[in-house]
Amino acid sequence: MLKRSHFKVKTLAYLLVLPQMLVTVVFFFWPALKAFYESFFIEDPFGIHHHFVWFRNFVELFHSSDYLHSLFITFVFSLAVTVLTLFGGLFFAVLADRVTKGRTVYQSLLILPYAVAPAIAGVLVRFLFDPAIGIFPYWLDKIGYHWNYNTHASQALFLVIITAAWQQISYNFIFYLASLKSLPHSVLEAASLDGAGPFRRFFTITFPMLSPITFFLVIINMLYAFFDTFGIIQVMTQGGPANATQTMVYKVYQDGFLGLDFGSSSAQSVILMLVIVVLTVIQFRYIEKKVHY
Amino acid sequence: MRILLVIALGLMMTLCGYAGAQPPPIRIVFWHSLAGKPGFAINKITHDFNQSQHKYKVINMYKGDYNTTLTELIAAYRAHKQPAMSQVLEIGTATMMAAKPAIVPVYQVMQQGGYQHFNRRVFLPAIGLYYSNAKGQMMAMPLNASSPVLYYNKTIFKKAGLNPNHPPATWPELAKDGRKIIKAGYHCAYTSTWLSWIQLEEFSAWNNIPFTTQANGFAGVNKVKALYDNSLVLKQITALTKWEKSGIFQYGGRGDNAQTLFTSGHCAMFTQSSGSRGSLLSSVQFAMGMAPMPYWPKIKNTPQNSIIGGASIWVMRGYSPKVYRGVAAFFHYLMRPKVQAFWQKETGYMVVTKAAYKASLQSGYYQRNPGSDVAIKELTNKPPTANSRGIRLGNYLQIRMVNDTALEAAFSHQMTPKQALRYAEKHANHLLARFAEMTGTSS
Repeated sequence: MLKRSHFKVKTLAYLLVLPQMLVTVVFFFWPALKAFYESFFIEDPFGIHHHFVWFRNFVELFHSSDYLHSLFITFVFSLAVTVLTLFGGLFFAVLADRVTKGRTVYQSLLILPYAVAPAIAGVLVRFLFDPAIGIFPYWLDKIGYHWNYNTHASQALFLVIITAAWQQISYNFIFYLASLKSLPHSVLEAASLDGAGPFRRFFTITFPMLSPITFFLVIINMLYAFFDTFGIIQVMTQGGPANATQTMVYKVYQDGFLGLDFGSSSAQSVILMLVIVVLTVIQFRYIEKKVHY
Repeated sequence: MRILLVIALGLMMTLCGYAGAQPPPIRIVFWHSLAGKPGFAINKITHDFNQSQHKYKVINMYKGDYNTTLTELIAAYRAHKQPAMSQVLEIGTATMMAAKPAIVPVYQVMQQGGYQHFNRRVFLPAIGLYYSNAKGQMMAMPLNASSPVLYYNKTIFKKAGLNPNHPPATWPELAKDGRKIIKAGYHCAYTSTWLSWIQLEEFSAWNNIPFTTQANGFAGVNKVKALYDNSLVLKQITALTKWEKSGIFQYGGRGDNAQTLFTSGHCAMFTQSSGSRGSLLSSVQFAMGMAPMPYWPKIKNTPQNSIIGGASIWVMRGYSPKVYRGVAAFFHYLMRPKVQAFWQKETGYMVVTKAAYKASLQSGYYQRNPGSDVAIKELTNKPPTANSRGIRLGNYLQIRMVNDTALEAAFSHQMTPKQALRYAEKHANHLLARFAEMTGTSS
């Protein structure tokens, strides 16, 4: 820890923090406050009529079956993406850690998906799984499985989950690999001398020691699933079929930027913010206690 | 670096001095969403207009697709940076009309520009009525107008033993032909793009049944209620879901996603905007025919006439009278039969004025280009009724999304057709009531 006295001139410290603060204020606090304010109004797109409605925008949302459905979809989607990426990343990291020959090749290939932009990933998967021209539907048809994610809700949800997870596994992989490398070898060696097999060693020593990084990744993955997957959904399904892939963020976009209903869209953003805050607080208060640093 | 700067400054001064001989033209910014062939056509038209006189200069700016342009227009208006004119998609009409302080009605622009003969009757009836207010005054300038038509693959028709010059006129005929096509070994006879536009909105107009109360929204924004949960629409959606099982119909996704099913030769027929004729002709590998939308026989007075799709130009408030005189001159230029004929030829969109239609007929354009007149014939099939002159709804974009969702649910068997229509109506009514409240017109 650096002591306070380390920075003799305080102005310099503030000056160095200032750009970051400016960015946060302009791109986060200001829009967040504006959304909070707008969520109490109903107005037309041009902002000509503007009237205060208390909590009506929120009440209407919780009476809308579509909104509740998007809450449910978001929950399923983020849970699936978080779990898949966490275990996928860990799985590949443990394996790559043991590889001795051609290690860099494995590692580079596993990191590669992260460099693909979400929209491009969406286009690629759409191309591969397109019911009319895709190669996978063609193969699936041969084994008698009818694939058309334009009409099958579960197929569409499955496909966006897989695509989102595929991208984020690389991120988890890097973090897990780095922490595996930093584990103290002496403990693991002592365990194997005492006769613990590789599985025993992994579950009683390696995994608990990875818990801080797991905790960090759970939060990052959840934020990723909530926000960064917009591009994938936009390119692949536009929230369809029949709202089967309409997450909360996607609905905010649809109602705000396409529907031009800024009141409802702002209310949805506020709810989204609250959900994220609550989830993060829960994780820090309860789960972090179980983390061994 | 410094030398470069000096040269640049010198050049600029020479240019300014040269231009100083004439007063600089008044700049009129125009935002649009026309890409590809229509984009080239609009650039050529404004370029020619700018060359034809020296007082005004129209500057085109491509702003992205229709939705992006509308969102940007609204953001620009809120920041007091709106352009003088902007293209707005047809379903944005109610939104624009409700924004009185933001717009200048086109009839006023033309009047003040000195074009006294400009009125709704200059345009084809279904087009003039669509963009005029309750008093019959033009609120926007029609630009690109289209209607859905049935495209069919003549090669498949021949292989299935059907007459390639006799496309189905009614839905039962389409089903009959479809069965033959399936028997001939094809997996899909018919698909459709833009489902809520074609299967609900145009379907209602073509069969002369109301889509919503308040004369499809033309009588006002307040207390508009959806009416498409009716027996005829139910019959259509039920038929499509039934045909889906045997392959006569295949659902191909939202928007124009279904187009690849037709161009790849998978589906023998599909309904799509007439505005796609040009691009389809250049992309398909087979002989393609065009026909009017099918209708249900034994319904009184059917088929009626189709509604236009496409977009119009809206004039924004906040500029000096000089600018609006320039806008009026540009609109006048745009309506010239020659310009309209060029637009029709390059893009596949329809001509919008009666004079231009007459000129196209006389020049033999439609005979030389088979299929190019299907949409305009649908549009002028009969004088428009309250059910067929158009649909003007608030929150229209969201209503279309709701309808798309409902139809998707029906075609993916998550809902029965009846449930789907009930769902669509319920959500649409909520959005309609909310729009009345958003615009301060609810009582």
